Amino acid sequence: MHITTKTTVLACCAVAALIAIGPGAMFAHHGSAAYDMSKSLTLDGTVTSLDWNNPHCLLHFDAKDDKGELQHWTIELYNPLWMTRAGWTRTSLKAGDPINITFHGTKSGAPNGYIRDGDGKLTSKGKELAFHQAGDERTTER
Amino acid sequence: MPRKNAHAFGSFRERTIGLTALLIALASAVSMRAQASAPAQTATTEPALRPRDLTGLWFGGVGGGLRVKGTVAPLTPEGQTRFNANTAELKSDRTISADPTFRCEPPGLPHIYGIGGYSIEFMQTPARIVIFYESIHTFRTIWMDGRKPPQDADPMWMGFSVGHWDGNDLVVDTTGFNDKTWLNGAGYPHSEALHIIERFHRADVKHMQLDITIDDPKSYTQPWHMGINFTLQPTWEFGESFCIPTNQENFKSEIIEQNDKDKPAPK
Repeated sequence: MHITTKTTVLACCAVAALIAIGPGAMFAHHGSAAYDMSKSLTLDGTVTSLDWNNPHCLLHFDAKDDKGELQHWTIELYNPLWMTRAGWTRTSLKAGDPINITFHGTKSGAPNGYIRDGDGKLTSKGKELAFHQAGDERTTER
Repeated sequence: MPRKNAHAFGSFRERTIGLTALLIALASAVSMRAQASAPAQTATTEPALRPRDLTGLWFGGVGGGLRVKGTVAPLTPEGQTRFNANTAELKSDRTISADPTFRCEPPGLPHIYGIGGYSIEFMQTPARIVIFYESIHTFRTIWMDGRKPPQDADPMWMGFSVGHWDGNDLVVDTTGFNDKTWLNGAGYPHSEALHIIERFHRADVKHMQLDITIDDPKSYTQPWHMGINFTLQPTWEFGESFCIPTNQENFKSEIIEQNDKDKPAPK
């Protein structure tokens, strides 16, 4: 599928760029220092809510841990304008929707995460929900 | 033309003309957007490059794209003291949340470019260039009519900006700052002596480079630079975004404090 292919290509570029630049070069609003950007987690879960707010939209979901017990997760997405430009609406995910999600977990082990345009991935009901803004030509420095 | 300070913001007639021109520019921009209101993935006609016209919506990237170019100049003892206070959380390996912008205080320059992944928009009249900042739904004026900064004015969050064209580059001098803001999210401080020089260089239709000179002899031993590479976004519309204190507090308790819960409290 077109979107998937594009995302894969962009993911490779973004990862290469991040290795080259290093996270220290970035000055995001609060930074990604608390997250382990060196590896990703992939989970199957069920959405509990999507908070459509500044400074970051937050995706809440439940997923079973290694012992089969439900763990509640909170994932940082981008701000609402960015999400809109990436094709989302505030109802793109609703409570009860099944998801498969790839994101960066915390260094502390807190059940939070950070999903990034480039190496993050989110699918629900066979459809990918992208994080790349239409018209943004960047494949580096993201 | 020299002006008296009392007229720093122009006569009623000048203001009316300026406002009318701004409204016409806004109306035409809205009209152009309406014609191009098809979904963003639809191909659009590439806008023509007009020298000395930076009109449009520009995107800098994650974190606004604001980066230190080279290295930060060594801090003076006064600057070092303030930097240490701003970044106390780093000693405990915690996320910096002491940033005043986190409490929705005005970010000032150049920090306003570095708030999240938002855009800026230029609108121009002969006497004024206005930059709108999507991140906190605010704007600033760059005076292009030759006026001088007011003397003994109250220090300002965004300073007082005067601009001129150097070839086709827009060069903006800003002074008159208060010392309450950080230069970026990494805690670099400044004093009221801060002088910022912005050079906007339109490389081609779609690309604009901003070089920012930080000159603050009370805080740094020499000038240093930050920069942003902008891309023009003809299909995007300036969106609404405000800093909402309750959202910020919620984000802090749900995300930052949870992520850092194993770290010692900052001293």
